[in-house]
Amino acid sequence: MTLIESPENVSAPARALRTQRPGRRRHAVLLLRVLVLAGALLAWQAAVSFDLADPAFVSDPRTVVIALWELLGTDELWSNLRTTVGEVLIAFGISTVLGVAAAIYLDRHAFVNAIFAPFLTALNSMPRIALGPLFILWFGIGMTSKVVLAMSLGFFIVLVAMMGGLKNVDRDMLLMSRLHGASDGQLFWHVRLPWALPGLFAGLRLTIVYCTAGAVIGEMIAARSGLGLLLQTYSSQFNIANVLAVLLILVALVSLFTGIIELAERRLLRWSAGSTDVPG
Amino acid sequence: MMQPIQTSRGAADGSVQASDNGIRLGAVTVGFGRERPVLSDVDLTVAPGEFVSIVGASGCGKTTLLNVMAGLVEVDSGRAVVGGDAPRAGRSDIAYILSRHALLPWKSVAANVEYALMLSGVKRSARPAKAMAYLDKVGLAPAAHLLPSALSQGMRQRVALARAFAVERSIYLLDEPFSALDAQTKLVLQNQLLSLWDADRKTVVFVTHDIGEAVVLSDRIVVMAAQGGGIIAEIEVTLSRPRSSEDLQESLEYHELYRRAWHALRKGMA
Repeated sequence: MTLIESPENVSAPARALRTQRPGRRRHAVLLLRVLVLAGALLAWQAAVSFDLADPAFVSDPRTVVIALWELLGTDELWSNLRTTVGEVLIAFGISTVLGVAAAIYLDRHAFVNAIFAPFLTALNSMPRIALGPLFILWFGIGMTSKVVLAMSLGFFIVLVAMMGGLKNVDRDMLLMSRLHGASDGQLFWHVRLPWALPGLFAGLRLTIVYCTAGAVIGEMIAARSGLGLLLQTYSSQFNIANVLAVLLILVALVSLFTGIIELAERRLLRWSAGSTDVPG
Repeated sequence: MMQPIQTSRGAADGSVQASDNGIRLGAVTVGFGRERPVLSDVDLTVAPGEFVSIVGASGCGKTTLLNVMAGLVEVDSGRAVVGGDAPRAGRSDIAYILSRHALLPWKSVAANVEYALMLSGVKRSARPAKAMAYLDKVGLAPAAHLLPSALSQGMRQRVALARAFAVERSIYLLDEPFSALDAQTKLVLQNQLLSLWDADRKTVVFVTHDIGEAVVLSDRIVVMAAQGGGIIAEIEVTLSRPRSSEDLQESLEYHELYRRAWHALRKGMA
């Protein structure tokens, strides 16, 4: 990229960044993305067409698209989708509420935190997916066991993100507020909570991904309904095209959830534009 | 709340009344557990409505002295009486201005001032007009809707000034509020502080390491020695008011006062 030597972008680096023709660049990125996707699909199709790969194992793009289209027309898909969406949303909601509440409590009670911190770390280092069969044993084959499995992942992500957000609140802002006579409640609502929001939102974007994974994997272990059950059924039938089509639906679902979270984030955190782009 | 009981030292000249907006420190000692106390036996009296600057090299304890008055630091011995009462953080008659602006980045300029008004118990309906009135006094009414991130460092500090004066306290404690600003911006802000103060003559204690600033602003300059040496000189600033920081740069009287303060400061460093 070339930087034009004009007085404006020399004196104001921020403006210089903006004057690098963002519109043109965005178009180039979009075009290249389409090309990468098209290239991958073509390579896939070519591999199958030239007998380099067995369509019985990897299917092919055309078949997957047809499978997807046909799936979208069935009641079977929509009823299973409803189950999964329900589980994910309930688990996400409870994880968020409990995670935020626990983080606020532990942040204010260092003594309790000191007692529980190692246990929370131990629980969080457990491979929760491996607990799936136990949860099904304890909470039955219905939605509850999937919600619990998803929550066992989501809760800790929210807890850790929110606790991180509440750490190191700007000392000057707290001091200034205190000196103006702020109560503990006012300090929380006007300083601590807004300060923690960017960290919380970075965690929420991760939480929705893990809650979805937890619900789907739970359904794959044992369920009466859900996209995970569909995946399991199609896999056992070697219906690769349908497996891939369901996975595409899951990708769309998670993208939709993430999009909604990002929308809320952009509205609430206009003041910290860009500061929450935490990788991972 | 503690009664302003006088101790044996530093208070021989009578009692302080509850309505008094003055400050009286008697034999204040603060050690922070160190072998050599930061402040030892410091006496200082500030009259109601007086503008006093405290100058000194870094580490001389000037900020600690201010923090004693704000109730942010406990004294090991001695007595501090501010506005007729023992200092306490969050008191409704004391305003404290930090060297960092401490604006909330998620609130607009106006909302930041209104936040301080809310904390001070000003009724919701009265807040917007009051915030705008004080923002206008520092020339920032047009920026009221902007977020602090859209402002320059000098503008942010002006918002902090407007915020502090909008809450209308009777005693103002300022801790190097202009130290992060360039020389020109500093002069502008000094003038704005002067005009805010001139409007109703609050009691002000202003900590700075900038002697010129102290001469421009104050009625009296208190010079502190390095390394816990305490107060070594007090210089009355006889310049007439209203003052303009720009005009004073060319005044002989200003430079003579500057020289005297500089001399005292230098002696205190030796």
